[in-house]
Amino acid sequence: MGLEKILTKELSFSYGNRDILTDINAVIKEGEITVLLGVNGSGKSTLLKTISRLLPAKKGSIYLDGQDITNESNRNIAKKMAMLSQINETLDMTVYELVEQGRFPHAGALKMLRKQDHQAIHNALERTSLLHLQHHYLNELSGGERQRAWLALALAQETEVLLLDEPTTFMDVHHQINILNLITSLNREEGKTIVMVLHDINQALAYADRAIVLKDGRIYNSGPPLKIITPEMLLEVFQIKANIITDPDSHHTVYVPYSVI
Amino acid sequence: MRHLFLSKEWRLYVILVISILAIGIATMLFGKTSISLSELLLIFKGDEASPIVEQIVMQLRLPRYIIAVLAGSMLGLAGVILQSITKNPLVEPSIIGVTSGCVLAAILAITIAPSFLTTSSVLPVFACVGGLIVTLLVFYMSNKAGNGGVHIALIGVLISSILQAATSFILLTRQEAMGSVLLWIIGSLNGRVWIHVYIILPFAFIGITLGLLSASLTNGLRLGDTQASLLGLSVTKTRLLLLGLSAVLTAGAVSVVGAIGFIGLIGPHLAKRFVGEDARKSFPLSILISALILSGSDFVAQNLIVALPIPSFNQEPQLPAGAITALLGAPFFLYVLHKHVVKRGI
Ligand SMILES: Nc1ncnc2c1ncn2[C@@H]1O[C@H](COP(=O)(O)OP(=O)(O)OP(=O)(O)O)[C@@H](O)[C@H]1O
Ligand SMILES: [Mg+2]
Repeated sequence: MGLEKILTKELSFSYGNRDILTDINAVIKEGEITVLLGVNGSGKSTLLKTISRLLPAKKGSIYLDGQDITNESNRNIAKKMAMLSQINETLDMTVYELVEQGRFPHAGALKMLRKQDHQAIHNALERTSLLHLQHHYLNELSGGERQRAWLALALAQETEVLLLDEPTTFMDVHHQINILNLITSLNREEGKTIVMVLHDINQALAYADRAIVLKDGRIYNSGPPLKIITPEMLLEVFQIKANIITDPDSHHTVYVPYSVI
Repeated sequence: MRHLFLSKEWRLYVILVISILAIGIATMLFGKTSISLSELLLIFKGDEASPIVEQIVMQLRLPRYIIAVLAGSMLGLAGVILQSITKNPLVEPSIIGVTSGCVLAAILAITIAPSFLTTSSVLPVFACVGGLIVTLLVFYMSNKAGNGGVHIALIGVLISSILQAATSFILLTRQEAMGSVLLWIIGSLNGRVWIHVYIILPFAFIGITLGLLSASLTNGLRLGDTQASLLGLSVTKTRLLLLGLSAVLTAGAVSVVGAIGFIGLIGPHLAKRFVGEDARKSFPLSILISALILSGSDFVAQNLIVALPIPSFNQEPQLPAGAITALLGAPFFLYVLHKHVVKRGI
């Protein structure tokens, strides 16, 4: 732990002449869960898309394992980083067919799936509790089940890094905790480096090793969640008044909002 | 137990191959002259058979059947590829303008040098070049317009209508070429011989091989542009490659058999109904179904005219296969349209 897995240096991005990200110097440490926080439109999804190279950086560079990947080919990146997008279409295919595509970067365009590919697909389906739904069509699934199917696609890629944009949206509390526990175990047991966007401050407090707070496309602050999730930050970034409380018995820290300004 | 035998798609493949071969045998046996099975066996064993029978089978019926199978396969594959990349089940190969390009080029060639009408092996080459040029134009324009997947169909239809108007204009001023050109526009296998097999063969071989190999790329595109690029697929390049491939397949087929319609619509639709959207299954199945439909239609066309001699048809004593596919295809198209519209709730 402690090694820098992903680094961005002076990373900027804009749509036309509207700056969305400005001089982002983000540090993602290997084997950690990093949570991105910020209000709607602060640039969280854009930052993930720029790191995954879905969007081209306007300025600055991105390093993965110390290597500049700003101009690396998509296929090579896809072997090392998988991303779950915030919005996914409903497609006319089965869960299995979708998850199978996760092997694309490994199997190559023309090659058949090999034994290890089928194994990876099976594992991904199993970990997301989708084995019983694998032959169902995506449009027959509930929103939460579909979200798990897209997560399974990312898992099937078997990458060291997972970029997850709001992995728990559409899910009931049970499945939210399930997914967050799954993400934790991928991190603790398989050493995957995880960067995810969460809107629930309490979940960030409970699951993050490190948090990065974005405000207007810039990094407002970053560090261990207990250090940077403070009443002042919540006031300045989210415009809410809240207290941070630690439960004396379980030692869990939660935030309790009480008013909006 | 069932798993010990073939999977669903392999059973379909086997049934279809057997049916295509059965049509082949029937094509050899029946027609204006009936040939007995024992005579046919003699020919294929290389033994002495009556020269006229050997002539009919080896020089007329066999090449014609081979062309029907190849052209059907090519149109079926072109159709399924185009339907996948445009995400539109109503698209058929002529939509990208390649067919009308072929027709116009052929007619221009006939107008400039009427001798081409008789040297029928040169005509397909002209047609093919014309079809590919028009496709390039359509690519270029739809790329300028943005999203290649959606606009390509619109621009293709537009260009096709302009070219068809030009074709009609030339035909009106050159009445004498009308008859044979019309037959070619409907699409027919009449008078197709070995030289035509040699013309279509390279297109079929290259197009079908590359088409089958690109099935997983097509599956990647089905994820949508964002996810496909996340998996390392270069979306624009892949789409262009697939469009080019379907243009080559269509141009090769159309230049030899003419603008046979609806094959590239019916084949893919039936294939997807059996095996779903997975390109690795729907591509080969669409090829086989379309080959069966065209060779079957041509068999029916050839034999129907024997059963029902139409008096005014004495100049061209055979029904064009394109008429049969249109007869099957037009109602089918309406059916698919209806289903599609109902499904979308429009
Ligand atoms: N395709 C686009 N074209 C122009 N502007 C865009 C586009 N996509 C996003 N933006 C703008 O970029 C800004 C950042 O968007 P982004 O999606 O990164 O926000 P976010 O932090 O993920 O928000 P949310 O919490 O709502 O998901 C927003 O102001 C948005 O309006
Ligand atoms: Mg977002």
